[in-house]
Amino acid sequence: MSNGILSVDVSAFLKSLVGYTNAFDYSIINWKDSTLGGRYNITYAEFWTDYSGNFSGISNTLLYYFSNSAKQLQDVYGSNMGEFVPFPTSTTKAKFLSDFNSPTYFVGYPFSLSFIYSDAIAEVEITRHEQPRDINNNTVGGEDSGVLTPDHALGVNRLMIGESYGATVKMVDVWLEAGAAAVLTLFEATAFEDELFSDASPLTTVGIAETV
Amino acid sequence: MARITEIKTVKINDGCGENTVYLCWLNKLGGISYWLFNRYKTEKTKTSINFPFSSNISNLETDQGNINISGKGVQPSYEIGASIPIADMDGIRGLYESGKVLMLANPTTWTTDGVKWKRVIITAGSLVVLKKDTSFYDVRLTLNLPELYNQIE
Repeated sequence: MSNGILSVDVSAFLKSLVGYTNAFDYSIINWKDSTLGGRYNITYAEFWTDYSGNFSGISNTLLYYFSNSAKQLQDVYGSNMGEFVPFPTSTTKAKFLSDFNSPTYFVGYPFSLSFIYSDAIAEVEITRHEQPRDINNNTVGGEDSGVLTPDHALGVNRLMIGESYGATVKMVDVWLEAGAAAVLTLFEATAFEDELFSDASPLTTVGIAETV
Repeated sequence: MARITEIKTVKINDGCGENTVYLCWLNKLGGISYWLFNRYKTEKTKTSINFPFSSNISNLETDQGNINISGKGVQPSYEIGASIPIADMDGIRGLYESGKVLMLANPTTWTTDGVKWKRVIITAGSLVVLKKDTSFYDVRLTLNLPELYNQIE
């Protein structure tokens, strides 16, 4: 604290907000999984002997995002998940949150891909596109698409694939596209609470008390 | 419309097999991964004795014995295996290293009853990888299932 800067590892606070259950019912095209990530603010105050400061307050527009992930030494962007965040006009395409280069869908079993439904794409229509292929990597039929529900934006999402494929289909290419149509206005009616560690609110605040 | 993600190729597998165990897990990137183990499944039950003690004998002629225990611990486990394409081994190593692994508890009825998962633990040091040929590995590992509840004296 000699230079007046206090560093806090907020992951210790955020660990209490993630979970280890799988509550997805595999019935809708995309679903925000709050056990895999979310949004948070930080509010802090200074306290020392005979002095109690006021908390700095929280903002419902200046938001931070977290995911339940573990980056490794020398990963791109360090602990930041920038590689996996989609942007509508970027030439670099966001990666899905999969440790398989090509995941496998076992027919008859629940399956989903995971991706970050970021604030950068939350205001426009997002569609899932699929191109089925046969064992020789030739396309089978045309492209299929489905519109994602924007109600589940701003968090880590589970994405279902079409699942009804013909017998000749042995693989399917999956990707997301962004349109121009506005579907959601961010932050206008966002509610927030000033309770510490509340995970019931759509916007969670994390309080940090500083003691000198 | 503009593409905003990579193109992810998902392989389609018919999901057949007699001794299937379907797992999902939290991968290091913060997403959920899946795999169906269908090569073999060995079910084991490990029991342990809780607090053995000697009970008093009140009638030597009629009493049924002086050895006793307060109960037994019951730990079921599965040893499972699969033939894994070499290209998928990174993901399977992720399964082995994950602290959050769930097993599909109702594989034949989940579409009508709703999906039910059970927390399982892949035992430390249980991953065995045998190279089968140039394109597949034979992978085996051991899952600890939830302990069974039992009567306690």
